[in-house]
Amino acid sequence: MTALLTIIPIIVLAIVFTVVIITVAKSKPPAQKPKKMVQRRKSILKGYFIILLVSGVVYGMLQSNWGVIGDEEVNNELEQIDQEFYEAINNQNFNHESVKEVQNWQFKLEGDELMLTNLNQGEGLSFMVYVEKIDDLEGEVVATYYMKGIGEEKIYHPNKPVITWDGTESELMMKQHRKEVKLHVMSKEFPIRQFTGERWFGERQSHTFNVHNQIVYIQVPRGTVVETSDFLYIYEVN
Amino acid sequence: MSFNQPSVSSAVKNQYLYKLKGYSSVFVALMTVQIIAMFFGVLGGVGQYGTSNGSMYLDLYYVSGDLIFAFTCIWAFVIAFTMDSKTNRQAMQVFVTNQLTRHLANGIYLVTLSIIGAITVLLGGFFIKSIVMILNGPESTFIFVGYTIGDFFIGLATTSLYLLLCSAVGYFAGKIASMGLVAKLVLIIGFLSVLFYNGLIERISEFFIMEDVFSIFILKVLVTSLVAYVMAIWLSKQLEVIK
Repeated sequence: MTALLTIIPIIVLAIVFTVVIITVAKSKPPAQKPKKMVQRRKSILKGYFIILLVSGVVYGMLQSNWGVIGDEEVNNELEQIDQEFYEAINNQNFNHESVKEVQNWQFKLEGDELMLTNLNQGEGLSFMVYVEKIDDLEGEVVATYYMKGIGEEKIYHPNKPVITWDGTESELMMKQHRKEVKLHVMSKEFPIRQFTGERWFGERQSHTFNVHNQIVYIQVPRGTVVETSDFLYIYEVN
Repeated sequence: MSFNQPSVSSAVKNQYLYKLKGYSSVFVALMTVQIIAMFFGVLGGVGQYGTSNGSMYLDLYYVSGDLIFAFTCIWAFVIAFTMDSKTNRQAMQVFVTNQLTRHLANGIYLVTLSIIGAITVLLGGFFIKSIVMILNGPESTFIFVGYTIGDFFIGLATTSLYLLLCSAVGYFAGKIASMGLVAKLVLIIGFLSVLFYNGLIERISEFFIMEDVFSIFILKVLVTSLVAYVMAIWLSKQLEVIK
């Protein structure tokens, strides 16, 4: 199969060579061509060129209507929002515009030990969890799922996680269904990219497609010992 | 025999216009290879990239006119290769012509083809993108970087230069091929060595592709094209002496 895939470009190139050679070689000298055939060819070529011109106009309209997200300006804006989001979370400023609360869960904790388990370990799916220990929670555990508060339409947010007790009221389980997003990225042609500093694909995509835009913020009573399973990264606040 | 002594410029002009108006098959070939490229471009894009942070998997399909550009480069090469063939030279016998005017007319014709090819490459890229966008809708389409007028002119100039380079090399190769069996063999061996000799094709293409200063790129392409073109004319003269 791999061998077949490697010869596909050669086959395609051979087809292109053959098409050009046959088209040109089959052609009679201009003086010998029937007038009708010449006219028909000219009409086809004109039609082709008109279609190309119209598609240029159509693309221009689509670009202005759908918006461009990969521009440097937008990238800088996203980078700033990214920074603001984590700053706001670290400073517990949850009312900041860069932070959006999606869901909140409350549980009654038995004892002073809390185990956080990631049920997606096998899939390599990780969680970023902020843990804050508070004096006046009286045996309660509060888990809140936050996302970045912007870019709903173009920044692709993951599915909401599901957070539940395992039944023992000391183990909090997190599960999230992986979201698959198929995107068509419109890119400039190589002769343009060669001089715009983006010679190869994907050089500027890292930030735009940054999907680390979710946080589970857990508040536990002070004195609680928090343990975690693999693929679960804890940042202790305070 | 004509008593009129036409000037070089009028002889070149007549031959150039004759080729431009008469050889519609050249443009039919251009259209055909571009339609093939568009088909592949719409079907699978020109690149695919998958990225994941665990909770989300992004499958990115890059869409651009790169394939049209590549196929058009091949078109330019093949057209130039066959440009000064025996059949085409015989067709020029209706004009008062000599080697100089014939090569000059061919040169100007190839420059014109390169510009026309470049315009269609850029517009063809828009065609592929428009079709993909319309078929997939705004939800799964991501316009990475918008075009500016400057981009269009840079794209036009660069693509024209690449096509000019391919056509100049093709013209030179075509001249070698017309020298006989031994020359054809040398050409085939040379072509295969460029293709398969360790890293040679990369080094040659990097000389142009990796250049990111526009003025130096222009210089590189023009000098290489001129050298290939002059060598083709020189070979043509040698061929006439041998005959």
